[in-house]
Amino acid sequence: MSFVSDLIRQRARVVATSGALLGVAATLAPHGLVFRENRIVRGEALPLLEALGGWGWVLLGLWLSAAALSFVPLPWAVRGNIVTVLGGLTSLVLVWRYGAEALRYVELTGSIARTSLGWAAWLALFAAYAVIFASTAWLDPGPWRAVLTYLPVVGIIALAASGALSEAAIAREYANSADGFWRELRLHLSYVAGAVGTGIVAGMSLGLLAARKRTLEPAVFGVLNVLQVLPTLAFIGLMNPILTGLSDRIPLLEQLGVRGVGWAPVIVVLSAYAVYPIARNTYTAIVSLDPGVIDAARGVGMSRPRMFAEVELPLALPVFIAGVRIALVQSTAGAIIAGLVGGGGLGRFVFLGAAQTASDLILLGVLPIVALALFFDRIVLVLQRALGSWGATA
Amino acid sequence: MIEITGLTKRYGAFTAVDDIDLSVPEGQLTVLLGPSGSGKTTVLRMVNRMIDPTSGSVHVNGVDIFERRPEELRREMGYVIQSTGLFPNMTIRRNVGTVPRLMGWDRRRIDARVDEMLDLVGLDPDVYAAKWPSQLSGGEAQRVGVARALAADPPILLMDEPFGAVDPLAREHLQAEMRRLQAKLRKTILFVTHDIDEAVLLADRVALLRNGRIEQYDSPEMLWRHPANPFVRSFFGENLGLRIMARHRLSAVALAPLDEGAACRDAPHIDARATLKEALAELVGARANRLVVCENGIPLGTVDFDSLVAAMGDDLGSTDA
Repeated sequence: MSFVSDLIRQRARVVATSGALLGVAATLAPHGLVFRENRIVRGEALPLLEALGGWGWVLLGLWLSAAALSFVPLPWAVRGNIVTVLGGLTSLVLVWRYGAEALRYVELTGSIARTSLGWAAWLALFAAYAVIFASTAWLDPGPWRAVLTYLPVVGIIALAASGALSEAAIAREYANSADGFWRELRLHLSYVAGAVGTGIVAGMSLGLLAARKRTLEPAVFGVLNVLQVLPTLAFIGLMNPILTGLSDRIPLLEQLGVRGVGWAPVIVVLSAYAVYPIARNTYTAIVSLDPGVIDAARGVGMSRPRMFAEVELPLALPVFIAGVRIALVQSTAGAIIAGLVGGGGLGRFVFLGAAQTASDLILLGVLPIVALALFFDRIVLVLQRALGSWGATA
Repeated sequence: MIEITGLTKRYGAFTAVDDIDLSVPEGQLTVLLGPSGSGKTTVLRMVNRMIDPTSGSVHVNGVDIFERRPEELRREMGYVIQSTGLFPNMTIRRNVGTVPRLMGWDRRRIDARVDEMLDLVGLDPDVYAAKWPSQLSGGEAQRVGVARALAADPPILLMDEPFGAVDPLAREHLQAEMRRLQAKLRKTILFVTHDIDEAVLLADRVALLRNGRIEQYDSPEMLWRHPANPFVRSFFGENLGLRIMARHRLSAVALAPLDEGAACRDAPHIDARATLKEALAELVGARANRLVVCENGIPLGTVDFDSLVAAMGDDLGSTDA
């Protein structure tokens, strides 16, 4: 056992214990579940302990055992397995019983009644995340750890698919606009794809240009920096007259549907944001290549294109992919803005919900965005590590 | 053979290499030795066109290198550098096979050649071929670097402080390996170092550089017996004689006859493969007047202080590897 990993494990103990205690607090705190007679009235909030009946005590028990087990000196692997499972169980019990309580409330009050998760419940879910995040540090990396980590996520998806959550407020919002949801999701994803695609092409070219011609580096990144710090809405506003003007003068653009509002400014602005991290990482990757390796590549007689393909590109790829990862996560969140300027996407639910003060509709937009961002982050991270292992840890 | 004539490199007002003439004989190891900034690496890098000279010419076997495509020229000159320059994104097999791959050999021939090269530098192909550079020690990485340079069997090797970055023990091993390899392969080698011990141990001939000029170009024995000027004498210092002794083995020295019934076990003795320097150290260390020289447990003759002095006389051959 190396000193460093032991230190990390000790620190994870603090995180796991505090996470579990936060869970205890969240179970006792007011605003666990919020019961409302219809979609927009204020409703009545109850602590989870009270709202979930006997299961509330089970939840409390799970949290307390997680806190206790994080603390007692069992072998790391034993602790890791048990506490990770406990953390997963808390979130599953919470979500499952929430679905059941929502159903009971509807049967009691009528079909337009809504049951939402209150802030204490969200806090409890966050606490579960913290506990799982910390306790997996006690386990060795590998498939088993991945299974334990993502099992709660799979469980919640399975619960939703089984219909156990059909009366949850967010599911009701989804049911109200199911067709629309998938259309907006697709639109949202196409914004992300368009922005990141443009980002890759432009970012890689600009990054390479700056790396090859160092004198151009300040100019390239000067411009990109300015674009990066422009506030989104201001940027879109700025694009409005430009795109309107272009569309008026160039018939092809008009036929494509390019206007001052809608998808066009969104794509332009998101692409502009996506270029920076990719260009920056491409530049950094190329300029930080080991000069000895480059010298050797020339010295053994590689031609310029061969050197790029066999040595520079593979070595730069992990850093480049890291840039793509940033752009991807950033665009996924950034595409919310499309909902505000007539471009649709998941942001539509967010702004519509805000206008109607329907918080569950906001969540219908926000939750998939968060889920997508996390998903992209994980997947690309795996890719990035696979491309750059070179026998280091593989 | 490499023929360097009037080679000069200027960077603005600074002259890195100043009108150098140097003839590197075929099958010999020529060391470019000098303090840092003396221009030795610049000379080396002009030979494979990594640096373009300001003026002067380089001919390899009579052909002007500036009429060759640089990539092709470099593939005929193995290149070993201090930082090894192994490609971290390739396995050892792929690293060693680089030049054959560039030359378009077929896969099977490359694989066979890689195994042969790893064997040659003392690394078991079954263990090392599938490894990655990040998994090697400094000494192992440098061996792989040498294997890569030799893979396409180039007639010429260019080595730029190849053992400068490894720890002293590994460096001694590598130097011994280098002597063994060169005795076997007889490549034309241009070898840059600032380490006097390394230069004297490995070189057939040493070109001592200072401020971009050659102070003297000769065998180590000649540099010792006949230094061209006070700089050469002071650069090599008091110990050069001892360093020269480390170049020669007892097996190449005229031994005194054995006493009746002399055996290797009881008397102070030494292996015939030992160097003269080691023999001297053994004489002093064992407080003996003479040592029995043995080969595989069989006594060959004896060596004493007088015979060492005689061996280091003016007719001392320039090398034996």
